[in-house]
Parts: sequence; C-alpha cells; structure tokens
Amino acid sequence: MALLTVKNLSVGYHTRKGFLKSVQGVSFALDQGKSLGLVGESGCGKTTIGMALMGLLPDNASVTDGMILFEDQDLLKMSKKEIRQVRWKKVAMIFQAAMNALNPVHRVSEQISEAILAHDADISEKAAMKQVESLFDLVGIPLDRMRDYPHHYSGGMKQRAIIAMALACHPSLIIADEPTTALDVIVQDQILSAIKDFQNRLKISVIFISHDIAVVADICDNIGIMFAGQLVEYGRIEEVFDAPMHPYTKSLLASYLTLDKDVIQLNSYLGETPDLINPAKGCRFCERCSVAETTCSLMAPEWVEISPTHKALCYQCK
Amino acid sequence: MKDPNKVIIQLEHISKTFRTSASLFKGDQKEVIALNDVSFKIFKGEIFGLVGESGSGKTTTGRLIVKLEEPDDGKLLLDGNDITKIKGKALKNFRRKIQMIFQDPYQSLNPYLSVYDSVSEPLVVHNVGNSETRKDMVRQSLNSVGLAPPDDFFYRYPHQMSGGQRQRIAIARAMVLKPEFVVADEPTSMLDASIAIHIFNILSEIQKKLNVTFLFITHSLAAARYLCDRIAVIYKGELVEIGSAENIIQNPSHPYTRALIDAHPRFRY
Repeated sequence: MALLTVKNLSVGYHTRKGFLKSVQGVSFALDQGKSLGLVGESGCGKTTIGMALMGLLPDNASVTDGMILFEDQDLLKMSKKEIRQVRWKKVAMIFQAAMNALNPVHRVSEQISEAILAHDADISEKAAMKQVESLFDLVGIPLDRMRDYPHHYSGGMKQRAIIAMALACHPSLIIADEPTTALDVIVQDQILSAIKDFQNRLKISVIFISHDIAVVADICDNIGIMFAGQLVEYGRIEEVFDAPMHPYTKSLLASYLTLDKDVIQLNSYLGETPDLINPAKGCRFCERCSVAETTCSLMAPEWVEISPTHKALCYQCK
Repeated sequence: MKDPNKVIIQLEHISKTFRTSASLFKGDQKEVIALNDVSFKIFKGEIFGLVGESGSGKTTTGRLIVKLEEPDDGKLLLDGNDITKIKGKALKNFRRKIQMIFQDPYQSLNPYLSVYDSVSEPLVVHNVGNSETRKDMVRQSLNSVGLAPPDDFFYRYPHQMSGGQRQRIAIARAMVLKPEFVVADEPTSMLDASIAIHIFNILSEIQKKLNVTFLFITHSLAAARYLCDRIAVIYKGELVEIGSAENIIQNPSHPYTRALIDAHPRFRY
C-alpha cells in the first residue's frame, strides 16, 4: 500500500507573459519507509512538486489537473484547516536555503519547541524542550549548543537544525529540497548520512529533490528524472544508473564529474531553456537530444516500459 | 601554453587574521586566523586549483591576490615585482591585468545595468577604446563565452537571464580587458551540474585562446581535476598539499585530502 500516490499532477503559474505550465502530468507512488529522488535542472518543476505536496504553492499558482493521495486522502481537495492538520505533522519539508530558514532573533531550541507546541496542544513546555533535546541528539548537534542563536551556527549545523525541525512532529513523509546544495562536500557527506540515519531508524519516507544525480544515488531507492516540467524517466536506482534509457538521463550521468573515471572533455551543448508557456508539441528534450528524429519534434512521446519498475518517456527507447 | 619557467603570481609567507569588532556589551575581541604562512607559485598559462571547505581560507587567498584584502604579513609578487603595498596609479594599472569572477552571478551583476553596460564598464573605467571600438570588444567578449549573436544580449538585464547566462556575462565582463590573470571563485557553486560543465569548458577554451592564467577556487576536487593542471589543498588557513591534479587524487599524502576524496559522492547504491 502506497503512502503517497501522485497522479497526473499538473501545476502552472499565472505570469505576466501567460500561463507557465511548470509541472505537467507527473505521476509516481511512494511506499512507507522508502525514498524517491527527483532530479532535474533549475526550473524543471521539482520544487513546485514539493510545494504542492506541502500545500504551500504561492497565490499565483494553480493546480490544473491530477491528485495527490496521501494515506488515501486527496491533499488537493482539503480545506486550509484540514491541510494544517497534515502539514508538518504528517508531511514535513527541509527547505533549500537553510541559511535563511531560521529566525535570527530566537534561540534555535526555542524555534523547534515552538513548532512542537503549535501542533500538540497537550504537551507542556518542559516536555517539548525534552523532545528538542532528543532531536538534537538524533541529528548530531551537541546539546550545549541548544541555547545558541542561528548566527552562532555554521552552515552544516543550521542544516541539521532544519532537519530536526522537520522531524519535530513525527511526520511520515519528509520532502528534502536541495538540502545540501549550499554546503561543501565534507558537510554534505555528513548531512546525507544524518538523513539516511533517521530514515532507517524512524522508517520515514523521503522525497529528495536535487540537481545532483550522485547525491540522489547515494540515498534513494527510486529515482525520477525531470525535464521541462515532465517526468522523463522513472525507476529503481540501480536500473536507471546501470541502464539509463532517456537521452537526458544519459547526458546527466555522462556530465557528472568523478574522481575515478578518466578525465574526458565533456560535451556541454545547452539549448535554450525550454519555453513552458507555449511548450513544444513534440518531445521537449528534442532540441538538445543527439538521437532525435523528425517524429520526435512532431508528436509527444509516450511512456515506454523497460521493466515493471522502470520506464522512460522517449520514442527512441522502444 | 603553460610555461613552468615563468612564475606569474607568487605568495610568500602570507598571513591574514580577521578580528571581530569588540561588542558593545562584551569587550572581548575574537580573532580568526584566515591564512597562516601560505606560500605558493602560479605559473604563466596554467589553471591552478585551490581546493578546500568553507572557512578554509580559499576565498581570502583569492581576494588577497586581486588586492581586495591586505595581508598582515608576507609578500605578494606579480611577474617578480612586489605588489603587496602598491597604491594609486600602480594599483589601477594592476587591476587592469587582474580580474575576478565571483561566486554568485545573482549578486555580482548590477541589476540596473544592461548586459552591454555591465560588460563595457571595465573598458570605461580604464579608458580603453572609444564608443565604437568598445562595441566590438564587448561583442568579442560575449562571443568567447558562447552568447551568440552578441547583439541580441546587449540590452537584456540580469533578471531576464538564467543563472548560467548570468555567470557567462560575469565571465565576459572579467575577460573584456584581456587580463593576464583571473581569479574564479567557485564560479559554478550556484549552478546545475550540466551548466557547470558548460562554464568549465568556456573557461578552458578562453584559457587556451588567450593564454590567460587562472586561479580556480572550488570545494570540489572533481571539478578541480576536470579543469586544472595543478591543485593546492588548503585546510584551516594552511596549505596542506600541492601538486599535479592527477597525482593529488591518485596518491593523496595528507589525511585531509583523503577525507575530501572520501566525502565526494560516488554512485554507491
């Protein structure tokens, strides 16, 4: 039984230039305790999906189609009051800009206990602070730093505090939106192990949003590759990495800089950023694709099933 | 091409300490040693990588070299001449030869200036050319970073462009004076992986075409390996290892370098 099922989700933004179709027809499912990585370049719609799951889309956004079933309830049909019962309590988010996500004028521990108190009317302040202590322990912040203010923390510690806050109300799903992008490799490695650790211990499902394909490979069970608002390949990590099918996935894997493979000159042709107000009729990756044929630019591609768990949105995969 | 006999930039026992200003309530000053006795040479025509984590002093090193900071101790040499204390005309002359590409293209470009104004500004400041020849120089510079046709970009503003395009504008702005030496401070840390590769390829092409020397500052050993001839690893303000890129990654001798290599994400599924 899937914890989360996203079906045919389409989200757009009203802009001055027209209606920008940010996410189109995205479907995936996530089981309890599993993790899914969403990978794609900036503007491909991955953060929009995260915001839709949290019910935090900005005012100029509208969901044009689809449903988000969480524990068999459609999050999109819920009232603001109902969604408040789900947000943070059941679905929590680790935001991208950890540097700015904490309030600079309150102690870190107070901010987290505030979150606990806001969602649980029965708990005493003292008990909430006790919970904060165990959370700090879980994410690896020394307890003598509890009474510090955010500016006393390094980037990695702020990120850990944000993770603690996401875990504060015992959610069953956490959306991590680029949690390590602003950090250097050593801290990134530590944060990723912290996430893996709580995931194993608490059996929480995680949706991990990133533009870094290797980070996702490191911690996820399934991976969805996104391009221009669409999911273009989906499968188990080992399937997608061992046998990538979509040309975009192949180019992502090829352009990853490693320390062990030989250094080769990587091809880096970039087309224009795809137009999402008037998206192309055919395949959206066409312009950058090295194996595209004339049909690709004329007709929208359909899903090709490579195995029951692995599929790609491309004509050339048949 | 790389010329191992000609040193362009040399740091001799450079040290730099930052002091926090004494707080109104607590009188104590805190000291942070950003660089401690750092010495290295950069050869003409090479891409030299400086690798380290946040707070290691790598950005301070870059800022010292372009003279946005003054060292407390030690000497900085350009082409064998001591430039640690130059001022006035000599400093302005120096700034023409040395340029910097900053980390964040969202902050380094003036949002009120069009691309043409941004890229031509260094020419105006240094009084190079006239309005006609400047146009050609800007065109050339935009072409070299792959923004073609350049005239299409002249009247665009930063907010109308993607992060990758903005960083290319920043590179074009740094290259328009045809500098001898360029410091690139984590030019791709705000950009996607595929765009980062594109920026690396642009830098290495420019290097080959104009024989510029680059100091490339990064926290990613893999990026340094892709782009650089030699790498120096810096940790807590001290240089811990220096050598050819391949040698450092294959046979790291310092434990910190090994930690950096281990922390690098590799497809461990």
